[in-house]
Amino acid sequence: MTDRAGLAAVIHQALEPGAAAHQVATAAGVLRSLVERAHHGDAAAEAASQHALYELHSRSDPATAATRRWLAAWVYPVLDRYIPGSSLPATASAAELGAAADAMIAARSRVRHPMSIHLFSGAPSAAEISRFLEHHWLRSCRFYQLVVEFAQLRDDFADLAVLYDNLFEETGGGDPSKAHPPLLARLMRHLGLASSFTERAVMVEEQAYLNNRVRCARHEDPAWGYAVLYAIEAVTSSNHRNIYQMLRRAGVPEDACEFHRMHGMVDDGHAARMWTSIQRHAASAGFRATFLRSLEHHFRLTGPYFDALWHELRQVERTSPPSRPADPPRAG
Amino acid sequence: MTTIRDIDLDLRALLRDPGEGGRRLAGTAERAFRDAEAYATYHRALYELHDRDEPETDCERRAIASPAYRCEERNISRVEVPVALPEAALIEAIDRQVLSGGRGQHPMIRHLFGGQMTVEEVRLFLRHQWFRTYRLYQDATDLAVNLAYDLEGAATMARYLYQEMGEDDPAGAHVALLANLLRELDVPCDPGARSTLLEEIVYLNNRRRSFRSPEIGWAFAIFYVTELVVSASHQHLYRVMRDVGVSEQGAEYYRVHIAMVPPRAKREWTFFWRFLQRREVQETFLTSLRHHLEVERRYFDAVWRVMQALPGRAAGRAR
Repeated sequence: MTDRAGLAAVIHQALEPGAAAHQVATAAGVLRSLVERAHHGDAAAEAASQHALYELHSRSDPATAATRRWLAAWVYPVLDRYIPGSSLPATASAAELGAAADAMIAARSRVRHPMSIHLFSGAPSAAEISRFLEHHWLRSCRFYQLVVEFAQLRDDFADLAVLYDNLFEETGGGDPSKAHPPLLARLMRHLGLASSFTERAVMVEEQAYLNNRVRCARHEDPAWGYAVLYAIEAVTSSNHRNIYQMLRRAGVPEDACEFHRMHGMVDDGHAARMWTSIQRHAASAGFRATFLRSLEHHFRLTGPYFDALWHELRQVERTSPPSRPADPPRAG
Repeated sequence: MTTIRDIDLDLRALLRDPGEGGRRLAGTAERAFRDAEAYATYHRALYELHDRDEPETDCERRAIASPAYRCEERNISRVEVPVALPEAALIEAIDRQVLSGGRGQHPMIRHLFGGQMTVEEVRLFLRHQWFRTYRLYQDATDLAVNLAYDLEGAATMARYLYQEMGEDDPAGAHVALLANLLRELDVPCDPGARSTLLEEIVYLNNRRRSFRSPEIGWAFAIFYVTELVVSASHQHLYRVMRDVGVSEQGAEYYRVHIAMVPPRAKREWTFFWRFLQRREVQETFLTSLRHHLEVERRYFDAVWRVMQALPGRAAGRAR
């Protein structure tokens, strides 16, 4: 039996109704040993463990939620252990942390990736845009879940006010039809693309990227989650403005582009508000060190993920004529 | 303070082996349905697991509690619903339960709303309001995580949490407003406050179990009934506070809920009804509601007994 099939079988047993504690412990042990092997260069173990972790994170059935969370929590400390400390010198204040974080985001964010340059300044085909959006859906549709899980372990009202404000807006400000996933789904439907919560990532780099976001959001140390949420919020605004322009150039009507038009306006505010929370925590040297460690790791995973996406896009047969070449993208 | 050691469960050892810990706690939960001593021991241990402010053991503490929750759910006597009720009939069944067993009928609440409380009695009432309220947002966040797979559920809980947290001003968070009120009357309002009153602990444990349950009927019942009564109840309490000399600003906590909650509760019901059309969910909902009202009545009885024993309490005030 392959690693993947063996792991899937023990996890399946652990998630059965009435599973015994020893079955849950067995699944946790197998998953944990595969994560260890993955960190010693075993690619099959990496693929199997990321896939299993992704399933634990993404399934929607409430009956197994507690066990899934428990199993995943068994591997988080192993994953933590293999993440190196930040390569940057220690920062001495919140202001220095802000400068270091913004420099890292500017240097390593996806805006400079060749795929982004092709999509936003080149002449992407309709098929390439579609493929890009399919992955965009996988990254975006569960973002609000990261925010609520991150809030679950916080007890400072100043943190919670910012997080619940963010969550309220992501979920439509009280009107679920205006929540961000249905707005993005409107675009997906317009282009004939799937947009259900049961869509699954299959690429290991994408699973690793998404799994890391969940691990950070659930971490007891808020520095892990804040780094990832801030990195995402900080680039979303400019990124979504670029996507909006790409879509409009490709002839997508205004109404279907609502998600990117609106997000292009609000997320700078989200990032700024989140920074006010981060700044309070950043009085602690330990928080600053972990924040940079988490941020650097997020980009360590973003690079290969976008490389893999770019590789996939270049395989896409150009079935439709290129759209009009674009103006250079805005900085961000 | 009672700790988990009282049931011979070493927390450190439990955290090393939560599977075994869960099994032992569930065993105590099972005995708690027949044995008063096991009942007290179980609930004090569970309360310790719920309220230890240790994010690093959160996952283990949940895992230990989980089998005990399922044991409780098996043992609580079920309301039977042979066929799913139409919406109006279900609302009627709920209203019937609330009218006959809700806190509005309780002698302590009638005494309070009757405007007869002394300042000392009001202070005691508020001390317990603090225990009931200051971690409610944590229970609601657990429910929000449980419902996150459902976008409408996530939006419903997001609106609730956003409003309870003061919208965009943490100084206006409802817990902060309650703390302002308590400070004005010199009532302790520490965020690490732990109750020692068993009936209160049982009430809080039951709410937390219900909000964490994968069967959402458990949570919906308590959430719904709390929202249902809060507007009228806080209207009375606002007046009581003003009558005992609390400032307008101090009484803000009660004033703010009067108009805010009814439209929110209406939207929440629309969401709940989507799930409640299923017979099994109605059954869990009505079971949870009945159980919650019983637990709440025993809790209010216990506070009422303490209140009646307050020194210097004017004879003849009690009804």
